[in-house]
Amino acid sequence: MEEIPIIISDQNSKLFGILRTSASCKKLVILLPAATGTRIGPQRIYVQIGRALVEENIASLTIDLPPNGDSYDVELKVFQGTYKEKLTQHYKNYLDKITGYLNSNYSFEEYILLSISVGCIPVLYYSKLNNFSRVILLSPNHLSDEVPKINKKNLKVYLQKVFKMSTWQKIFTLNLNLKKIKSNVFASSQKKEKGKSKQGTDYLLNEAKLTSQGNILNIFGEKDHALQKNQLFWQNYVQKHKYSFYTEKLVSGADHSFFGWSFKIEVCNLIVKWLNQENEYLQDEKIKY
Amino acid sequence: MEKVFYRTRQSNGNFYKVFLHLHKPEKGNGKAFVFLNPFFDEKKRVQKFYATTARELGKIGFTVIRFDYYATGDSSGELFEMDYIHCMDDISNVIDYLVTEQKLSYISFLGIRMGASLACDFAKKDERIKELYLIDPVLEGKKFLLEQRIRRKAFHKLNKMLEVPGTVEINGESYEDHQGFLLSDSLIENINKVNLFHSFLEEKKLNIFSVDFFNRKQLKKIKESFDKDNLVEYIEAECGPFWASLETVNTSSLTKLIIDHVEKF
Repeated sequence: MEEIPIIISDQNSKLFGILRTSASCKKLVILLPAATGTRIGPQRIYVQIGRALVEENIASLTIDLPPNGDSYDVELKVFQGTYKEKLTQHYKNYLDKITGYLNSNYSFEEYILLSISVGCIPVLYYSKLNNFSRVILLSPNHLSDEVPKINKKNLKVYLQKVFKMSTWQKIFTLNLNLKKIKSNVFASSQKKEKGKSKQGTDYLLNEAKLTSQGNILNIFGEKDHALQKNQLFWQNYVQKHKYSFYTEKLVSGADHSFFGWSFKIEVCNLIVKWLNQENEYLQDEKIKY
Repeated sequence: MEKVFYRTRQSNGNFYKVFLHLHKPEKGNGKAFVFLNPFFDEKKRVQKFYATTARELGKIGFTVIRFDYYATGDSSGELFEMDYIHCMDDISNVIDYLVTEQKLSYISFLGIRMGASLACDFAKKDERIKELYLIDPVLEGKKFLLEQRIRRKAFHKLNKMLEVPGTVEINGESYEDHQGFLLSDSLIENINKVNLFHSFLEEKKLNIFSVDFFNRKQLKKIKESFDKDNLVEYIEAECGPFWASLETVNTSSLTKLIIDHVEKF
């Protein structure tokens, strides 16, 4: 196995990753972090998966998603639309650079995208847009187009600030910007606007026109808090978009990020087994821990 | 200029491939920083801060090396092979690289948490290290391990993962499983030995930064106990313990504090 550190750069961006390959590898799995993750994945799971794949003659690329890890590029906020639309464009921008680099420097026959959690939907869109035949999704969340009434992330940040001296100083000197706090926490609920030609909206509307011949492998953790909701979403999604083959696997005892040595091994084994098989539909199967 | 590469070291007939990330300035000032990672999942959460701070140091002429200890990050080896002795050997390997290949002799460490503790332990024995920048060093290894165990218990309880065993056996050896990070008996023993109260550094310039409110009293005590020659600076930063946060934390204020401090001296 060769582990090749790579830098994909242009005037305003640099993406850092590791390509793991050997002379006999013709296919490549690109392992993409979730929105706040780094290229090694939760508890280094991506490194483990990447190395296991090379043993099966499948190359892998792990690469930091900006602005996390070592990579940098334009930030999410420059894109238009809802959070889902922004995230999708952000991943597209990032994946265009990656696939552009790979096409110029290597000659892999097939790209298979893999992501986790909130990275899954944008990665799936990209896969469909580029007619990739297979996608692997770990603990895929569903992303709503609706803006939640309360921004929980910002609320958490403000709650943490309650314990800081500087916050109380602002309160006692009447320097706290309540208007700003209110607008950051209480976003008004809005549905996706139809017919408006924003870049992100156009991109997602096209999804309905894309044919979905690809195969999806979804791996969930049994103890994932949102398991039922996510499973239901994906089963409906796959039916609606007429995916050829959809395989769902459940890792018994595992949480959303598969935190645990044996869970990581199980995830590696499931991925390798699925990639090695011919295109066929498999029944749901519970994997014993 | 940034360069990413592997460097192999040899020890007892075995080869260990370590991942390095070099930040080389356009115009160097003859000085270098080696960044030392914290342990386990904390490494992932400080990576962005390290990358940003390394780039800022590069703008003012410092060469910076970041690396992954053997069996962590992108270095070779399985997680269960992580060992304190390997970490020390990796640090030595990086210092050798800076001295022999980059021709730099003024070397400082920047470490966070266990990285800061390792920095102190290594610097005790190596004259080449001139200055240390320590961000909330782990003062007592026993306490650190206790925190990890409590955190694991809380995690399993919160997620109703009550059947997950706390240990894993691989090739006849038993390891503590901390949500996928495996701790060998040897690693546990060496972490338990970490105690900065008993042996702090003398004759080295120490800059201690604190972002953890609950650690500040002890770090102030360290300064009072060990600052015989006025070589210990203690600085409080505002950004909070970002190595423990699941969300992205803005650490730009800490980066600025470090750069200001480096430029001042």
